[in-house]
This record gives sequence, C-alpha cells and structure tokens, in this order.
Amino acid sequence: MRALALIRHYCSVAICCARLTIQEQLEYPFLAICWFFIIPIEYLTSVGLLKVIINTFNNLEGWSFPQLTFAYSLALLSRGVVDVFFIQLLYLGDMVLYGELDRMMLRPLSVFFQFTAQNINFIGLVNMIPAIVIFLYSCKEVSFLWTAANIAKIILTVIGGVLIRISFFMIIGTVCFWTKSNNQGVELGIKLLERSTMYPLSIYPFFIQFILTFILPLGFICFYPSCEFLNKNDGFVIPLGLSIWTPAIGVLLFYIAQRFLKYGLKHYESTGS
Amino acid sequence: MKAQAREVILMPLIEAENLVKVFKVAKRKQGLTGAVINLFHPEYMIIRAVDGISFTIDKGEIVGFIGPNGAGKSTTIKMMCGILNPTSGWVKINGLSPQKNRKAVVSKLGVVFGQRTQLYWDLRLGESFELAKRIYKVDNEVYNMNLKAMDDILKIGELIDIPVRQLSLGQRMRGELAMAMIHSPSVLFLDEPSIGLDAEAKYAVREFIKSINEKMGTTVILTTHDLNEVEQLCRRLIVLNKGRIIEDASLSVITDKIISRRILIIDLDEDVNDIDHPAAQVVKKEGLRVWMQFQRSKITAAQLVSDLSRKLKIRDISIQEPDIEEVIREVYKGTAQ
Amino acid sequence: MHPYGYISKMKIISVLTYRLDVLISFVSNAVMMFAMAFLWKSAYGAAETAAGVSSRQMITYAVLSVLLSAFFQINVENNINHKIQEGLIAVELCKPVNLLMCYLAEDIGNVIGSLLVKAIPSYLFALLLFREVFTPDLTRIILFVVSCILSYGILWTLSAITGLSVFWFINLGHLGTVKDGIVRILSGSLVPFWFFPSYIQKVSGWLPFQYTYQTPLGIYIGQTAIKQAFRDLAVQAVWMLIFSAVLYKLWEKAKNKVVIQGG
Repeated sequence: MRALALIRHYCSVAICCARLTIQEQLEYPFLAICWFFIIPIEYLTSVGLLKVIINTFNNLEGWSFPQLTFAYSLALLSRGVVDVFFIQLLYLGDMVLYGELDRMMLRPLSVFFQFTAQNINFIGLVNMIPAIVIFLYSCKEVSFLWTAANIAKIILTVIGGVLIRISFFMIIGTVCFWTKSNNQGVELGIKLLERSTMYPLSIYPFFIQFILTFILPLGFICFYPSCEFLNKNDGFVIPLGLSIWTPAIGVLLFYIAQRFLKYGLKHYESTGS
Repeated sequence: MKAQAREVILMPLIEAENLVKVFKVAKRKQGLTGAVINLFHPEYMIIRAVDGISFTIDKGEIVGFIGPNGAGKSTTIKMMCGILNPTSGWVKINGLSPQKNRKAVVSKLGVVFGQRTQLYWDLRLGESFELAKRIYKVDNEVYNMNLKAMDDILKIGELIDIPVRQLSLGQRMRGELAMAMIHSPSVLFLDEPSIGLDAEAKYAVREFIKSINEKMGTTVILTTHDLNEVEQLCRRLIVLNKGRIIEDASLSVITDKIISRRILIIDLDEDVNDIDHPAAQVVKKEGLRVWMQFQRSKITAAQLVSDLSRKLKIRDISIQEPDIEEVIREVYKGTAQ
Repeated sequence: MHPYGYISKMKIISVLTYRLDVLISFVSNAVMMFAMAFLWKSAYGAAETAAGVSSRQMITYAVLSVLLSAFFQINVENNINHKIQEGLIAVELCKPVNLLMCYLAEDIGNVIGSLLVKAIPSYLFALLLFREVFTPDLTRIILFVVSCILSYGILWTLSAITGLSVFWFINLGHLGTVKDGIVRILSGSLVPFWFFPSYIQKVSGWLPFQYTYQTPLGIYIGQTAIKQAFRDLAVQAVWMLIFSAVLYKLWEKAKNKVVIQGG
C-alpha cells in the first residue's frame, strides 16, 4: 500500500514536471527547432562517413554498408531513449557545482528521480524518428527476420543499452562533482560512446577490444548484439548467445553506478556558498 | 496535561551538538610558474569552517545567524538542512537527523537562498507553486489556504500570473518566500533574503517573517549581513566567527555586554557654557542640545540625569543606544584577539 | 602590462590550473586519434593508396585533425551569449577596451595554453604510438602554420558573428551547436573532400569551410602541391577578410542596439 502511494506521488510530480517542461520549451520555439536539425544531421553525417569509406574501400573489416548501418542504428535506438528520459544525467556534474543538487536534496523526493523526471525531452521523441527510420532501412538491407524471438532480443538489447549508457553517465557525473571539475568528462564520455558504437570494434587492436568488452563494456551496446544478429564471429567469442549479455551487463552496471552515486553523494561536499 | 505541556516545551525544535566541518582546499600559487608547479605538486589547506558549535532552538523563535564572511554561517545552515554532512558532531530537527532521515526532515523545512532561484524562469509564478504542491503532497484545502495567507501577507495574488523572468528582484523574492511556505513548514531557513532588495522590498520581507512567525508559528532562522533586519526581527542572535559561536543571546544582552558606553542627549532650557561631570564627557553640542558620553558600568543613566539636573535646567532627555553595527564590529573584533 | 596581453596571460594560467581538465583533454584527444587512425587503417586494409592519398598520409591527416580541433579553442560565441543572458553586456560595453578584442585576447590565450598543455603532448604521444605519422619538410611546416593561423581567423570571426546574432535573437539556443556541426562536416575534418565525387568537391570549393581544416591538413600531409598551397592560403585570407568585414559591420549595429534582458 505504501508502495502504491509512493508511486502515485512520484507520478503526479513527473506529470507536472513534464507539463511544465513542455510549456517551457514552447516559450523558445527557435531553440526547439535547432534541436530538430542537430540530431538528424549528426546521425546522417555518421552514416555518410561510413558510406564514403565503403564506397572507396568496399568493406570495413568484413562489414558491408548495410551491416555497419544496422549496428550503428541499433545503438541509436538506445541513445534515443536516453536522450528523451535521461538527458539530465549529462549535466550531473554541473548541477552539483551550481547548487542544483543542494536544491534537490531539500525536496522530499529521491534525488535520482529528480534527475530523470525533471526534464523529459519531448524533442528527443521526435529525434527518435530518424533513428528508427535508419534502423528499419538497415534491417531491410540485411534481410533481418522479424521473428518474435528476434523482436524480443532487440527490445532487450535496447533496454540493456539504455542501462549501460545511463550507468556510464552516472559514474562520470559522480567523478565530476567529486573532483569539483566542470563537465569536461561528459564530453569525453560522449566521444567514447560514439566511437565504440559507430564502428565495429574489430577495427581496433586487441587491447582496446578487450577494454571495451570486459572493463568498460560499451561494446555490448550494439557491437556484440549486432554480431549475433548478423551471424558474425568478430571480437571475443562469448558463450550463451550475446543478446542475453547486454541487458544482464546493463543491470549490473546500473547497480554499481547507483551505489557509487549514493556513496559519492554521502561524501559530497558543497562547493561553498 | 501538565506533563504533556512540559514535554512540548522541553524538547527543542533544533538541536546541534559540537558540530564540526572541515574542508580540504587546494592552494593556488601565483603567476605562470606557480600554475605549472601546481599542476604536478598540488598543496592543500585544511579549513575548519565550523569548529565545534552547539545550540538549541525552540519552536517559534526567530534566530539570526550573523558573522563576518567565512565565519561558517552558510556551512552551519547547510548542515542543518542535511545538504552537508558534519565532519563530527550532530544536529537534529524535531528529533530526526537531517542526514539520516533526509526526506522526513526536509518535508517540514522551507529554504530560501537569496541568490539562486528555484522558480521556473520562463513560466508564470503559479506554475512553480503547482509543482511545489505536488512535491510536498499538499492537499487542495491546505494549498488554497496557504496561498490565501501568502496573498494576505505578501500580496502574491498580483504576481501569480506573471512569468518569473519579468519580475523584479523584490517581486521574485516574494515569490520565493511564498513558495517556501506552500507546504506549511515548521522551520524556515533564509539565507541572505534581502540581498539587493530596495527598502520597500526589505520591509515586505521583514513583515513577512513577523507574520508567519506570529500567525503560523513558524520558526525562522535567518542569516544576514543587514543589521537593521537583525535589530527589528531577531529576538535572538547567534554570532559566529571563525567557525565558533561568539555570542548567543538577545541583542540587548549582547549590546550591554559589549559596549557599556552610552550617549545621553540633553535638551536644555537655558544655554550653559560649562557642563561638567566626573563620569561623563560632552562629545557634541548644538545650540541647546548636548550629547554626553558615559559608561554604564560606572554610572547609570538615571544617576547621571539626576546629577546633571541639579546644575542644569533640563527640558528633555533621551538615551542613544550604540549603533548595532558598532556593537557587532566590537563583537567580531573581540574574537580576533 | 597591456590589458589584452594580461587577459591572455590570465587565460593561460587558468588553462594550466585545471589539472583534471588537462588530463581529460589529453585522454579525449587520444581517444579520438585512436579511433580515427584505426578507422582509416582498417579501411585501407591492404590497399596502399585510395583517391590519390596513401594510407600513411590519411592516418596523419586524421591524427592531426584531432589536434587542430583541440587547439582551435574559440569561446567568444559563448562569452557574448552568456553576457547577454545575464544582462551584463551594457556593463561590458562601458569598459574602456574594445570588447571583441578582449574576447580575441582571451581566446588566443586559450590557444597558447592549449598548445602548450594539450596539443603538443598529444602530438608527441601520437608520434610515439603511430609509426605512420610523419613530419614533412620545413617549407611545408611553415605553410602549414600560416594556414592554421588563417583557419583560426576564419573560425573565430565566424563564431563572433554567430555570437553577435544573439543581439537579434535574444536566445541563441543551439544555433552555435548547429553551426559547429555544419562546420565540422563541411570542413573536411572527418573526411577530406578528395574522397567525394567531383561535383561535391566543386561546391565545397566555393564555401569557406573546407579552408578551415582541409587546407592546412592537406598542406601538411603533402597532398597539396606547393603552388596550390599558396593559392589556398590566398583563398583563406580572402574569406577571413570577408568575415571580418561582416563582423565589423554587425558589431557597430549591435552596439547601437543594446537590449537588456531580465531584471
């Protein structure tokens, strides 16, 4: 019963926030329009880069253009979800440094909830459209089989990808406010994510593949799941069917990130008045 | 009944015991070479921002935390709100630790930081109130009642439909204060609320504090540099310097303790050239009005007046208390020794 | 000390002071260099040349491109935007120094600081790790440096113009980001236009963007003949002059129209 009341409480706050955020974004339509362009431009640029390379060199480590696009767009799906619901996490460090975190701690709500529900990015929803379009196109090109099992696997992969991404940003944000540096680390994080999802990991030498598989498992966002869907044997051969690993690693990483964040908050020191 | 009443009085609202907060700050060196050295060999300073302070605050008090910059006021307030963890010592609000029971404690607190706003910048003021209503689970009746109270006290009704970015600083502050009261907090923390406000806005803030204290029984804790505000509002002052409590008493007690010097202003009926008294000196004379300085420790005002009236024809007298700024300066100076 | 020089010096110091920033920039650059170098290495595979560029040249191109982006630090756009948002622009304009020059001085300080702290170590790191990266002869290096200066001029004036547009749009929104994105693509920093069909190369030749990255990089890796290099430098200079003129005009207009936002 208490849980139900709690959920209702959080829902009412989330809905109110969403409403206010939409109203806010409507105040500055120009801003919103800019966003409509930036993301599709970015996606198309990356795909374009792949096309140019393939046109000149015919393949990239044995991956054809449709296969490359498939992998990349699979990553774009999880990225889209993160952009819609969790984009505030990118500003975790800044918020702490500017006292936003103080304000959050003064409210009788979970701080994590406030970070995520406070700014639902409805423009991000629109930006999911190019991601989905590119994905569906590449599915057609690689003759993707729309079986129930495959669909379930895709959904699990996206969920896992989302968890991996947000855990990653939570850890970066925690380090950011702990070391009282500004948000530079976030940009580095974004670059890492891009570089490990834009191209197959097989272009990188062994030790980088190792890092991206076992230490910072970004390879599981789209590379390994794609390998399974496309029947490739690149990278490390991992037992049990790769699509199970992504959500599993996502959950584990999320747990670690949450604990780390709680720990960081406990020892958090305000940066002066 | 009597036992219950006694219990209500006995348990203070806020208790702090030996609060200590230590910060580690990186030392910055001068110039270009210094910056390079700092890159490889950073040095740290240990700062005891709060160095063992204890106090209790009862329900319904209005307490002013004053002290020079860097005295530890904001740090102490933050520890009371649960934003900061004390290095050692503890603080309790209503018997609960803000660090351990954050949500429970915070739901009964109202906080206003003077410089940063928590209002939605581009939307009308009312929207921010709606959000606060949901966050603090305020039911409709209480919400409307509080809004009406805020309208009575702050005239918030005329501002509620204006976008926050179009409000003046004074209006925004009224909005912030109103928002802080939406959930009927038992304690209100105000950190430099009158900074940058004009005289009228400052007056509004003062009246607000008095009203909520009288009508709603809200305990108010105020940090400020504005000594006028302190004089008019705070029945009790906690003076901090270098992380320690220097004084914790009412303003009059502190004044008496620190400065025993007083000025007696006499309006004479007849001008006299020579006004002499062993325990007082003339510091200023303008026509028929004479200012005489005396030490309260050496002679009382009554005695002095009585003495003088034997020699002089006095029409009217008044006693000038030392300027509060002077008092506070003396308090600060006292600890520098 | 001259006020502009002082501003630069202070910026250099502040760049050096943020140790973690320095480290993160270094790692960031390293990551990008790795990614791009390996991408091209894999792409070439066994092939020696493609589109007239050798594998070795392309890897150098990619690595150097990352370095250029690291030290083409431009903050003038954000500075102007910030000051306007906070209603401080009127205050700034009252100071007895040319505001734009101040921002330029600050950005140059940033460049020098970045050069010392981020770019040079990163380049040495790249030389160590990628055996393919090479250094050309002295003439080319000199031309490269001149070209970089001109590139920076083009980018800086473009940013300043974008920044000034805030005077008319109130909220810059993400115009800056859009502009940066477009510049990044069209500058050839990711893929030079030699890989594109000729009609695209023709169009790009008429736009200023390829002259910001592709030109200096092309000179460095030896892809551009010396004669062509001089021609490219001339085009760069022309674009810089054009943007400077536009900037000057806008600046005069902006000063006449000081809009104060907020309370």
